[in-house]
Amino acid sequence: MTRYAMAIDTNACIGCYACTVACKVENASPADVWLAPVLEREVGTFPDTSRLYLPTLCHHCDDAPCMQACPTRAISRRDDGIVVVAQDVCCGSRACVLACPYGALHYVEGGGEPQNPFERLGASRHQAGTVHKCTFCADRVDQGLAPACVETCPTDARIFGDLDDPDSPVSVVLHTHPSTPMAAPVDTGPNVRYLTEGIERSGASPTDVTLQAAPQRQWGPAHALEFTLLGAGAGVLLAALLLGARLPWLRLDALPLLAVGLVGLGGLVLIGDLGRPARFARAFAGWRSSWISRGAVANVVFGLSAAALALASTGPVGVAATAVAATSAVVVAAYPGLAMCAIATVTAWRRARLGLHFLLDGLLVGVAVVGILASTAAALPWLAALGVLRVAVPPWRPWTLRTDPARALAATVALVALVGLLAGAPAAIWPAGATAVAGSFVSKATALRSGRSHSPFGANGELFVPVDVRR
Amino acid sequence: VPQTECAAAGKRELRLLTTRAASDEWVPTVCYGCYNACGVLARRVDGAVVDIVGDPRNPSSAGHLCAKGKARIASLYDPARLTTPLRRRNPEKGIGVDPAWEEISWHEALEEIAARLRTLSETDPRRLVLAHFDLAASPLIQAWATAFGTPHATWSSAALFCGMGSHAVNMMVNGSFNSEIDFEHCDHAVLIGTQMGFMVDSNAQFTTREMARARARGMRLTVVDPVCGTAAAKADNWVPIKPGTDAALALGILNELLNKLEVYDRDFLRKRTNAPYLVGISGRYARDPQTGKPLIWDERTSRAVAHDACCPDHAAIEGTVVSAGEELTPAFELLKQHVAGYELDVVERITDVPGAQVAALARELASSARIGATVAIDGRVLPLRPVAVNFKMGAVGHRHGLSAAFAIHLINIVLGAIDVPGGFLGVNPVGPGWAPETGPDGLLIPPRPMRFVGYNSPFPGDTVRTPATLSLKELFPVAFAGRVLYPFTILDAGVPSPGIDAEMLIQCRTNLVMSNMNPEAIANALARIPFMVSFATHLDETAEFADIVLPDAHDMERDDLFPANHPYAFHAAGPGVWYGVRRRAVVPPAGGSRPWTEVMLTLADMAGFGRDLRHVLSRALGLEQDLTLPAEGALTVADIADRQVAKYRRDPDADGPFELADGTVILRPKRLEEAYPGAFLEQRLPIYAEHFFAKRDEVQAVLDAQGVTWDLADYEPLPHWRPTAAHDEVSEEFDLFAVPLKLPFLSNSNSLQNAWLADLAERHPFALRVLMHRRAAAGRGIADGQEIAVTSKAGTVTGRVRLTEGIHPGVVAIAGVSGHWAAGTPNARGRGVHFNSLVPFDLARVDKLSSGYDSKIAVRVEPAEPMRPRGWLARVASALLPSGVQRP
Repeated sequence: MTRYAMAIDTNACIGCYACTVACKVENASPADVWLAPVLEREVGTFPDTSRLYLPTLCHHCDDAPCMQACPTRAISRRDDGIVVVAQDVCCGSRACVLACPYGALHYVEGGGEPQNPFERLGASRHQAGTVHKCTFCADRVDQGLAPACVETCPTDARIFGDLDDPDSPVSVVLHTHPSTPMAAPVDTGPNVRYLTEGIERSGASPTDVTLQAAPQRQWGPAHALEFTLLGAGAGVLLAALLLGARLPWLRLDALPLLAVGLVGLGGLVLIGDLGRPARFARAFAGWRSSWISRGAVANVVFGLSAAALALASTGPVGVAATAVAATSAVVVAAYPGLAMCAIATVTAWRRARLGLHFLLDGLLVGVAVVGILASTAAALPWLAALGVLRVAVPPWRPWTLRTDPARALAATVALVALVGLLAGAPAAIWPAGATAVAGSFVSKATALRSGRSHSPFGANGELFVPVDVRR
Repeated sequence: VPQTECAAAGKRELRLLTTRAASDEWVPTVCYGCYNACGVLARRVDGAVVDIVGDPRNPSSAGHLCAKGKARIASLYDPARLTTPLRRRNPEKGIGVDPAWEEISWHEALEEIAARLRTLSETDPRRLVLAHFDLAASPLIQAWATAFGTPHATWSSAALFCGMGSHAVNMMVNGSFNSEIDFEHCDHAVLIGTQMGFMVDSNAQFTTREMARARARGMRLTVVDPVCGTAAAKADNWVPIKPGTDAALALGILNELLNKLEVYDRDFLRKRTNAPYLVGISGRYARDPQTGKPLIWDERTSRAVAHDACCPDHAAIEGTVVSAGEELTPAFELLKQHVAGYELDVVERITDVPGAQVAALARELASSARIGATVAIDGRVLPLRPVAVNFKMGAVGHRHGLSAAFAIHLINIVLGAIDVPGGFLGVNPVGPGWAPETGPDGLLIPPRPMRFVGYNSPFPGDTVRTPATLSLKELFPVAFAGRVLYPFTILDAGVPSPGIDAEMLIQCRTNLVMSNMNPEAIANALARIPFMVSFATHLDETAEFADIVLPDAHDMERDDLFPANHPYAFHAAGPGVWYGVRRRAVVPPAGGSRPWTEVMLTLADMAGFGRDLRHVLSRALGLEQDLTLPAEGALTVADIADRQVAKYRRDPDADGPFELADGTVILRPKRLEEAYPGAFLEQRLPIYAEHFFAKRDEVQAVLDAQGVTWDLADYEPLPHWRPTAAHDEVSEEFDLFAVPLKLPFLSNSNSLQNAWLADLAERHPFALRVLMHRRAAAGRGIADGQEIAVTSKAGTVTGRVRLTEGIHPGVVAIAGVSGHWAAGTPNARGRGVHFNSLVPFDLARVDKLSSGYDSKIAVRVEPAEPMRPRGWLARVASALLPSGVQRP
């Protein structure tokens, strides 16, 4: 067997960026993509000051979280341990970018036309809208050559080889020198290790070998909108069932169709946000590990069952359709929260109750919409009850208005609905409903915004995150 | 080169990156990411360069390549490159003045330039000035200037600050233009104001590799630098010194070594230096009345005898003797007494380095030196001195640079660590066809294998004459060159007049406005020259002053004379092989660009001195018989290089056959006498620069005749520490020092126009920022990342601050050359802070020994008002505004 790995000689590295640029050339990486940057840490206080240089790249983890997160199964681990992205499969969901604790995956934006022969080469190798990562220079390795960063390093600070070969340089150095992996929120079995000698010599400690989390930039307002629409669609269906409501001015029961429409619209937003929308169908493939895939399946099941329900709401078909639609609706509303929660490295999202929040948000919107459309007074107590429930489910972070304003909005919904109920004012459904819709969007937006992902680059795109190591 | 050859090199095999590739080959050539000329292989696929790797057969790169070299691809394909000749329509010249370019044809441009050259050559050819920092083109351009008849081919912006002091002293002591540490054997390396071994300075790849190996082996590294840069970050011992005080530290260490620890290499001092030369009350040598030779004191016979008469083992180097009624003191005794004034408390007061630390460093050096130790190499027993002190711009880039370099170098000398294993090695003072000569007083004269036409020889020093060149090199007899003085003579700024008005300037590969001294002064000087031609890859700050701009080719689009490195200056020191590198065009020039070297050949023919140029070139390059350049007809740089390679093949000293690759020519292995000449040479080195007296008097006489007053105090045989210009300027108003610093991935002023390097600079912690100590910032209400204004006597620059613990609290530092404002360099424009805008234009800043320029600046730092926008707004603003430079 072969198990490729790299050891970083932290004493040898002088932060000259030769590897960083060599990688750029070898991969013809797009303009702002650097797959092998060198981090810098200032250590100590004057005059006992030093700098620690930390070359990075993909850590080719044994238990690669990017693979788990990928809905299309575009990421695979070769027999020799090299983790690669199949560019023809990747749909550009960026879940892997979020999932990597080492910031090793880079989404390639669609750019302008290539300006010169080198850029043309790059464009031919990097499809816009897909994810690009270090492959340990698999093409070179397959020919018995070292990765480009290793070859060019003027101080031989990057040591590469096969861990299963006891004579390979990396095996030798790791057997004779203590080393540490780069610290990460989860243990992913990384195959890049940093020799501790140089770390300690600089006055730092192995725990300083880490990346800083910065606000995630992969999933933004489009995702908040999409999640809100999914929740609304699922909520409308569930509310229709709960309230037993029908639209009085239509013979056909249009509520399930409305639900399908909302979910479909959400799906379109999702597809539109993919780097490669045409590959959306591939996103079902990862159902074994990816909540995005499971959600996609649920969306389709929901669409079919809800449509069936609209056509035949009674009889065995109706019962079956109701059961399937209701079940899938729960998944449709909740899975965005579970997909976020599944990204282990975004610690702010590591709360399964996000799914419950999103479900309740969706129900609130659904009840409000159905209540308004069907002019049913029965909606108000439900709104009040669901609002209270949403407030009662513990916040996923220590609660402040900033961290979870949706909770305050849910309380407002409950309060307005209760007041309307007590005052006998069915019109209270309007302000309560509007607040519920706003709350649902805000809930998703704040949750998404709270996420911090790992990247070698700091918040301003810098390679240096000011970490004060004072000893 | 056949693909198999590359494969056989063992470093990498060839493979196709694209399936459509019609052609895919590796072309051996030479990198020009800096001046070090590493052998590389460029991969050409379908006529495009897609990869550059170090050539494994090249002793310098040895298969590695740095960021600057790798990034040459981004420069090659830079869309901002100039591809058409341009003529200025706006006669007014100045910073920020639109030249109103119009495109013209090559024919038209060359006709006009040639006509002007013909006119000049008929009147006074000396009125033509050539400015460039193109080391590979240097032999060609020097010959061109000689053939044309102008001595003015030495103006360049680089090396004003960095090498003037160190090159001169290395020539005097190591007999070598550059010097390095023998990392293979060294146990304690001290870097003072240099980061050699950290991908900067000469032979960067080689020294970086050797430094890393030596550190891994356990070599101790001490770095003396106000800033914790790359070298200090990796040092065992960082000594944050106050800028411009390194000479005081060196003299303090010497005092500890000579007077406290009494550790010095007596044997070496007696035999290989002028330490025993007897000096009279006047400070000059006591000389043999008959022969005029300096005398030494024979301790056995208690008699003064000529230095070469006998008994080096018994020459007195200490005490005082009386001979023929005169009290005479050996030079070494004078040195001991001289440094006695540099007690630890004095040194601490000047340098801010605690006295205990100075004493500890001296003790470490004393014990590391292992005086008396030997090592067997190739069956020969050589002295082993595993200790060396290296120095460059940080220590010597000021108005007492040569004195400082000498003071520091004296540490190497007294420890006997000169050109022997473990010590401080000249870059090949002895080589194939050259060796140091013996000067009039038995002292070493550096060999002159380099055809550095128009340059001086630091020892025994050139003849002082009435100035006849714009460089005033006649007044700098112990300097290497006088390139610093051009703007002073052009502007007639209080210097003796050479009586020449610069009429025409041809400039290439040196951004005089950005990377010389104060840009306003340079701009004024350029504006005063009636006709200026720039060869430029970009319309940079200097090209904006040109009357005609010609698009220059990228270095991957040109050939160069052989070798493109100079084996005397840019070659690995110590054991190894002699080699030269051959730069070849990998791809044809982009658009309408042409290599300036080829254009200069054409211009010589057009202007009617092509025949002379070919003659001068043949002679300068040693091309004889059938290799002589043809007197007329087509001639390319590649043709000349072919003849040079052929000449090398016939060289009787080459001990052929030698390995001939198209990129790197291996001549032969170095002999032990070449690798470690210190153990074999007999010429003495100066610890006492007695010749300075005579040179001072000669300079003084010329100055008196011209009615000009210069401070010539540095012309003293033993160096003192004297305050730099910044020390004079420090006051309540200017309470901090500003210094430049170097980063391993940025080299010259063109680095930031490289899209990749610019992006990395943006992401780097402080490449584009002002580095400042937290403590200093706290007292001024400055927060990390804030926009600040740095003000010196010369002006104000603004930029973002990076607070750090890695800097002397009394210092701010700015890396590299940034803060560009030319529209023709869009990647560089608006990025960073322009250090040189802080450098005053002042003759008092010129080192009267080396002609180096003082780069230590007194400044004040305050929050910038008003606050500038951040983020995307700042990017928009920087794209719209001319620069971050505000001129008062």
